[in-house]
Amino acid sequence: MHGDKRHIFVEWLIRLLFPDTGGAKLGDFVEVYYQIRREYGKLRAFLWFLKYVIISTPSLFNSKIYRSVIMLKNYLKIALRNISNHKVYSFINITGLSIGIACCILILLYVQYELSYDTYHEKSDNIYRVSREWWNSDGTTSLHLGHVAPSGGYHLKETFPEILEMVRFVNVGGMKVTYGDKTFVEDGIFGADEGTFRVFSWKLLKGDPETALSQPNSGVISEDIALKYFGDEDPMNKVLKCSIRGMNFDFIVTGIMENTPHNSHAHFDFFYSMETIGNAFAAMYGQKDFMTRNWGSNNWATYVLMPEGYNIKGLEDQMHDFMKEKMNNPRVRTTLHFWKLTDIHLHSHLDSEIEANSDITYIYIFSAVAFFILLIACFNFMNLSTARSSLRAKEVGMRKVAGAFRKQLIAQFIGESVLIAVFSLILASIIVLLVLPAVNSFVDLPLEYNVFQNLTIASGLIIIILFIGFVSGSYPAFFLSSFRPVSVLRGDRTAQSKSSFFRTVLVITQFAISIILIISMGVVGDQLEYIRNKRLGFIKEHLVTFGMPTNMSSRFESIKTQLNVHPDILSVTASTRIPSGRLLDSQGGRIASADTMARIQFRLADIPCDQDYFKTFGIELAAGRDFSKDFTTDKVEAFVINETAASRFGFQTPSDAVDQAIQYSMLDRNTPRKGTIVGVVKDFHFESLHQPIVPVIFYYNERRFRVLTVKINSRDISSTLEHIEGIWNNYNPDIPFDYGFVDERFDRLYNYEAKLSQVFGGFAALAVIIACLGLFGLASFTAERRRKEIGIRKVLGATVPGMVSLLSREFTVLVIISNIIAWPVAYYMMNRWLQSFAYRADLNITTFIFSGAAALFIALLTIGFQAARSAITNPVNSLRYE
Amino acid sequence: MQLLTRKEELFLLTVWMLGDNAYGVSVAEKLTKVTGKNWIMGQVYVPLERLEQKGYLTSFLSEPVSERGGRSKRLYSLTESGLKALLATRSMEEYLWKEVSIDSIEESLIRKR
Repeated sequence: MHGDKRHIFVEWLIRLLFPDTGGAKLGDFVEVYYQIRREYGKLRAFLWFLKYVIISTPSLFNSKIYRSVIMLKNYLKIALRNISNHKVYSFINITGLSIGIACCILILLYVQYELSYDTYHEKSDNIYRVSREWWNSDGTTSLHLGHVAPSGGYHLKETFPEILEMVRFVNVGGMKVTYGDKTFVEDGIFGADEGTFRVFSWKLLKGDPETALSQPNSGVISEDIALKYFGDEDPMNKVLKCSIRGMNFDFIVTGIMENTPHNSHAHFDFFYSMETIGNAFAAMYGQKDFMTRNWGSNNWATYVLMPEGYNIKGLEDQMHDFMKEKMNNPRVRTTLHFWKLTDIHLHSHLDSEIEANSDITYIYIFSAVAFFILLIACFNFMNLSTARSSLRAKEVGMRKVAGAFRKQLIAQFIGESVLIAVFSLILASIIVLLVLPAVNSFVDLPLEYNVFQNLTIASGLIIIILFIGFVSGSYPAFFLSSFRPVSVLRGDRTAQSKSSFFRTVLVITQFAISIILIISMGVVGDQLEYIRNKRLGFIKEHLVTFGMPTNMSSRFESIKTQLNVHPDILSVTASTRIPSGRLLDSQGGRIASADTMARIQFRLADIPCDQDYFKTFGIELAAGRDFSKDFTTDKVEAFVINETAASRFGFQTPSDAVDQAIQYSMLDRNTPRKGTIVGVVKDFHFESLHQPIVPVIFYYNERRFRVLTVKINSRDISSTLEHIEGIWNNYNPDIPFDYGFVDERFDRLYNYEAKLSQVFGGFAALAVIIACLGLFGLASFTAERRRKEIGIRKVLGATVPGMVSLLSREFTVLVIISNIIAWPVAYYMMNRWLQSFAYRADLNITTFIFSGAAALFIALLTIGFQAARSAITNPVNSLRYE
Repeated sequence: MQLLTRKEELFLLTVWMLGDNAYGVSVAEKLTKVTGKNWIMGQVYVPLERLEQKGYLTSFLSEPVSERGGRSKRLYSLTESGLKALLATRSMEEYLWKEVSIDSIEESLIRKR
């Protein structure tokens, strides 16, 4: 060993294990080592040494750890005694913290789930969705769709070799599917390109992913669909009979696909090979090269797979030129954009999406709220432990006298708060497990709480615990450990005043946060109320609406007559779209200007409808006349516009627009329709109040009617509905009658806001509860400390109400200061939120006052209870014992 | 006068027996020989240090020894109070055993069986 370089480590190990001055122990080892080496050789000596280290290590560490374990035991014992001796404070701390942690866990689960959308695809980082934007002559975006025309994807793949794969999905629409005696109408059938399974990682349980979508008249169905049609049978190579718009197809099952995971931005369960679907569309549109030349049918969800690390921005910059070239028109105002697949769910809110997406702002709002609630709970802990510091000051003094270092004391107090945090975590987990089902049905997600399988959550929890431990433990730890033993043990109370300022700040912050949440809840509620009560410009009540399949829309006149027979049906109208939907269709046109017909320079949305549209919806005329059956020419040359359109055309009053010549392109004809504006309707809110009112034009075009809307009497609605259903069944015996009410559709537009208001309500309530718990603790502590003062005051003749006001004054002032801080912050935040509405309620000062008053009231109730209790006590009890 | 535990007594006697050459290796060897149980050095250091703290033993570092890689030995020897403690413990035991006959213990052992 001596002088041997190889044994430096060994020597270091011995010195570490057996510290000794002068190296005598090391010498002992060397002696024995050489002895063995002389007798048995080097190897044996080395083995002896190894064995020796191994067997002697445990006993050595034992004696080393022993002392620190004793200390730890002492800390633990003191902490547990503190918890059980001060049950009220411990209850407040643990309840507050566990509510805070439970909020955090729930939001962590929510955020984690939302961020997981579409990440399960192996190539998710390199898949992009193509979207298409149009803009007006002034450069503003007029429309941005999440879908593009079929030729968009085709030409991208042809032009840019770096695109590895291009896949399109197109919804075929309601297709009647029959197998044996089972017939269903499937809305979710998508034509899909053959590369689908090379781009997306949906697994095929049966069939070959390479070829499953390559043959005509075949395709892939999901497990659910397989079960629905085939039950226990093996669906492979079986034939489903499909029919749509009078065309019949065979569908040979070539693959069974796993159900699309819930965390996908789109869910598919029926893929038809693109070849058949492409031919069907070509036949329907009468355009042979539909798949490569059509630019108008923007219903094709298109995805491209790019090479690893590809700069998509560079490609996107070329898209306007690409569109100009491919559409053969240098003046087109349209381009393509690329969206990362994993960004779609949280960031994409285009005018068309396969399914409604969520919003990243949800995540920001929820995370911020959870953080603040946890903070309020931590503040409780800090307040209560500094307030009670005088009670523990003696312990700190004794420990210091007995030789504790400041470092040890800090560790002790932080350790205590970590311990409380761990208790709270256990309680919080129970709360989470209890409320998770309710939360799931509220957010409509399948969240699961499983710490052991979810590493993110587990590490999140550890961070939360440490956060609480350090944030709420740090101030008391540094504060308490700074006590000087001499003054503490002598009974000085100089340290008190400093800490009470800090407490004041914390209480003000707590209440400011709570008040901001209450105000937010109030403002969101105000806006919802405003939306629900705003005059929409039409009557949304008692309107039944349903989509018409082609066989009905071609005979809608006779259906209308049959419907009108019923005495409780007031009016019936057919159209493309109805209020509560979107205004997504628009064509170009010309309007009379001086002597020429000038091109219309803005996006003029169109609604083909029949003569009863305005009557059915109760939309009022501003000038001119309604469509009428008395004018036979109305069907081919009458137009009605709304006031916004009239003013955009530059007419001073609506009546100026009447009788003006106008031309408007027909989607289904090559030549525009030439006619006159016969009337102008008052503006009404066709879309949600997020959107401003846009220019709209109405005209008659029965080939595009898709929706029937029936105005009914409120008397005996169910029998009226039966009548409508009877007529439906005459035409579509196999298809269930699926209808909706327009007012319900309108309410659904504000689901987001309704949920937001509920979320704020819930969180505001929790914040107030936790803050009040803390206040209760502080108040009871103050009352306890002032027992004697109260006793003496009472003896000298103070009244109970006087005492209560004396005791609550301090806290009342704090809550009022919180209000002053909270109002501007809440005003700023909510003002910004309201900007997202085109039509919004005013920020109402009464909402602010009411919220502040509510917080003050609850706080006073909390303090008053304590104050009254101590004011009522008989002074004899508080003064007697001396 | 503090009475010694059996383990302390064992260690003090061992050091006494070894005379001028009581250090880690020799104490461990001697103890192994006396008790018939394998003692390793790691087990003797802590008791020796405790006894030194109690004042029964004293130690000093010897001159460097070449066969130990030029390192010293920590040599232990008994202090006055160590010797007194040994004597006191011994006399107490003798006193106790004088009053008790071994025969009576054996007799009672047989009866217990």
